[in-house]
Amino acid sequence: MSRVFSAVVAAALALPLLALAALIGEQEAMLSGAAVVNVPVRGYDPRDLLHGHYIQGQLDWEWEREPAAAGSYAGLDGAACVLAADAPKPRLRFIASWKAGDRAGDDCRMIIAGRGWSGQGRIAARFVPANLDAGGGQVRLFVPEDRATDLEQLLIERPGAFTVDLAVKPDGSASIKALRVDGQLLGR
Amino acid sequence: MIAEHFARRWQKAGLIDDDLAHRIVDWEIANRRPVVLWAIAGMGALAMALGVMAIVGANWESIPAWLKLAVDLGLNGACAVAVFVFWRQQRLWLREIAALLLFGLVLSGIALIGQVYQLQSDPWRALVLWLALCTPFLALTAHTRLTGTIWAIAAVTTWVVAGDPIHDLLARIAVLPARRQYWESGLLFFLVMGYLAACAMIVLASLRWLWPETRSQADLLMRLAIAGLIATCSLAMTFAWREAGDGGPLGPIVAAAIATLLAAAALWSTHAEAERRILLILLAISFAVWTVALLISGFDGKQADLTRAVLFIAYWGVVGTMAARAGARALFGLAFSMIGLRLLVLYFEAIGGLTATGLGLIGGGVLCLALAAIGWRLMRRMPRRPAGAAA
Repeated sequence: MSRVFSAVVAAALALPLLALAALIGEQEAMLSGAAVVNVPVRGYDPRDLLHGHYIQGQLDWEWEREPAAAGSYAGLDGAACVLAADAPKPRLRFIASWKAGDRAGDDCRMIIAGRGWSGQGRIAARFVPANLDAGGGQVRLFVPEDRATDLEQLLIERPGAFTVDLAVKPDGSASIKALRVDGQLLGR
Repeated sequence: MIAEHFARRWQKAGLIDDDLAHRIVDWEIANRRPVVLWAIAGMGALAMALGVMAIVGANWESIPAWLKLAVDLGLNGACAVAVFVFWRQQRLWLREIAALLLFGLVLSGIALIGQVYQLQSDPWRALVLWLALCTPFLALTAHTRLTGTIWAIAAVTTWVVAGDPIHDLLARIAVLPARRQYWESGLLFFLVMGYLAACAMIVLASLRWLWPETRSQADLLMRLAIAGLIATCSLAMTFAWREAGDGGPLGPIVAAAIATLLAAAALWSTHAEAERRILLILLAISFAVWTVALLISGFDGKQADLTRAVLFIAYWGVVGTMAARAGARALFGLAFSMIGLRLLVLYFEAIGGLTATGLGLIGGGVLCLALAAIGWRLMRRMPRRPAGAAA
């Protein structure tokens, strides 16, 4: 067993550890120094094989200008300008085809890059940050096993009580910083 | 136990003397391969890894996220150190079990990070990352068939879970037509997945064969790959009906040709002449059968069914011949059974009506009995597999 080979084996064993640590570091870097916006959630509770229980739902916004996508299933890439508002739901102005570096308007508190869907009839307009889209404008929020059922019930009985804090970077990327129930932190 | 039982039996029958019986039993004790214990130990490591994952899944709210992450990293670190120490000390059992445990812990670590930071990525991304991080240390430190089997299961699972992006990739490079709906994946796609995976596994097994310490693992991977290839080609001959949206057969044929060439090149460059000959013939025949099966997959009717059946029987005939040459009795028996089964099915495909069905059943039964008799005779005449022969 040569020293070089031992070093190679040690490096191979260290690789997963370093990668996991790097993943944590990357996520912490994403959250640090980002502006935060709190958004209500509506949804339901299935399970994920790897991560456990999650609430699958949609972020609930107020709209100044909805995405003008063709039909409620076809999404439109762009961004949402978050306007200053007193309402519990953040008020959005959808900007189609927005790219990082584009101007968004002076009245925007922050800008979130993502995808929007137009509302039709009883289907509300949707918007989801680009890196949080779990498909069709849905987000998955991983929740404690023993709270999953209560949270599911809460979403039905008291819409708006379950919210997420989105950490938004100046380039428009967003990640979930925290989950809240009636304003109180859940989990982390 | 089993060796002692047979040694005593042969001793009583006068086939071996007392001294030889003792020597056989002593040798078996000294070179014992406790498969059951290995299986139990492997299941134990797997159960522990799954247990950690389930606890991660429970997502205890009362434990702060930083503590969960720190404990997970600590466990991963401790397990990595254990693998290294056992590897240095050449303690086979402990090294393999610790490596399997680390394999599971890394996946639970990825899941935990996804949970804590609410990451939304698809499961296949987590699985690909898991394999990318773990394959290097498993390749260097874990040499047993048990670890090879578990790695192969993980690789196949990842391949299957990544079906959607693979389909999109194959559509982008014109191997398959683009899906009209995101849930749409025809049977042809799964056959292409199977063929490509089998060839990729042949390449990996060939590379593993280069290292003398991992040859038994390589042998197992090669067997799994060949079994996958034969199964895929058999299914292609049986079920590869092309539908209107499936596009032409050229894309899957070209993709299979490239994969076959890569697999053949790997076999050619890593195996000696005697070891690679049968495998290369099998690979070439499989590709030929795949091509013909896809070319005729657009046709319907009795004639097309008959062509597919003849092709199926011819393919398994070749597999049986190769198995006979290699002295692989079990595979030979399987090939013979497959041919018999297909003939029986062909019998039923060709007939209709109650009287004809009755006659078909009688004819099919006679056919099966005749085939069993011929198979029995052929198997008795078959040479045994030479000691230490590869797949």
